[in-house]
Amino acid sequence: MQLIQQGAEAKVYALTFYGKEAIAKERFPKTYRHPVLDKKLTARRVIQEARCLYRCQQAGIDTPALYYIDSNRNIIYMERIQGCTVKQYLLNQTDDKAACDGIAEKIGTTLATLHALDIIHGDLTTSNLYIRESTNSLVLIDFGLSFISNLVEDKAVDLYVLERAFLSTHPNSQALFDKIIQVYLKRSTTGKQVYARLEDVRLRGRKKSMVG
Amino acid sequence: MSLTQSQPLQLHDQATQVHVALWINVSNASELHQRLLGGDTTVNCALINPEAVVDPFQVMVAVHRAAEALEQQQLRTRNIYSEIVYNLSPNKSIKEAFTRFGLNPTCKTILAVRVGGSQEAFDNEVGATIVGEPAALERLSSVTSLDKVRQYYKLPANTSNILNAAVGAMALKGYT
Repeated sequence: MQLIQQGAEAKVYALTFYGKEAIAKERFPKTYRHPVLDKKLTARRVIQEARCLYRCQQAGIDTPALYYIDSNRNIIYMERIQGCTVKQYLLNQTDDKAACDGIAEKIGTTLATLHALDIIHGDLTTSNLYIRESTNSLVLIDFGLSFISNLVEDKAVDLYVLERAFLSTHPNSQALFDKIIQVYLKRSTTGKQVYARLEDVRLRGRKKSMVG
Repeated sequence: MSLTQSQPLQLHDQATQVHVALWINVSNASELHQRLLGGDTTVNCALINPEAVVDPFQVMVAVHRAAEALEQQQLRTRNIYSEIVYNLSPNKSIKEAFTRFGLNPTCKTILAVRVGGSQEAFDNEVGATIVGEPAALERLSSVTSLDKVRQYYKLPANTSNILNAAVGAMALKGYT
């Protein structure tokens, strides 16, 4: 097992799982929390992530396939996507307008499907969007902060997070994000309400309540 | 040459081998079924009805989970072999798991799985247990009924990757 990524919540290892190229995402214990509470929270989040992943897969959104959940060690085994992140892709093709539009179309469609299922991704960045090499389809990864909600507020915040991520990692990408929103509006039944809320969120930021 | 496929169990130092063999034209399924019902442990392998098994990978995931459960003393069924059959099912009903994925008296094909031991010993003992012909694992796809797979794992008709969807459903067993 080779460590390929480490974040605040989890470590990601690359390995082969019974002949399949896979990754193991391990949520490690947080020493600053009470051990009993930590165990409960971690276990719950592992399951929640796996559930969101599988729900998306069933709805036809391209996500890494779920292979196995090790609930004793808090590890999720899933498919390793062969391809590159949308972040890399956009950095490489800044001048190719058609390619960028194609990506925007895919992102908008995928997000509309995702939100129609009432799944909030929670961490939409261009690093968490992959392009699968073999099929060129858009893959959503990292459902670590995902949850189920039908609130317009949560969907708007989801889009807002993506907008911030876009603007901070890719200079002059406002047009691209606008294109994503256009597609989203076209494909989503609640698109209009979400967009109206997005404008509110833009004014005040991600947190609705300023307490805590 | 043996048609059995063996690969290491991915626990610890990978020292344990898992053996998987497909048998066709089996004629003594009802006798085997009786032996299993009687709790006869001399069968000493998991006998699976391969009708809803898409790929050996699906079986390996079930084996992995069963081995893990055995080690953690979290088995929900009698032994590791019954647990393998149980783990193939996406829900917690033991009875349903056995009727769907376990051997039934009319089975003509059987997927036999053993954890541990040598391939040679497995081949000899399974050969003595099952009356039929060994077949290459690649022939599994001709035995699989995709309609059954979709029905058992509750997959929508347009599922693009049936194996991945089935394995995902197995992984979430007990957590939904």
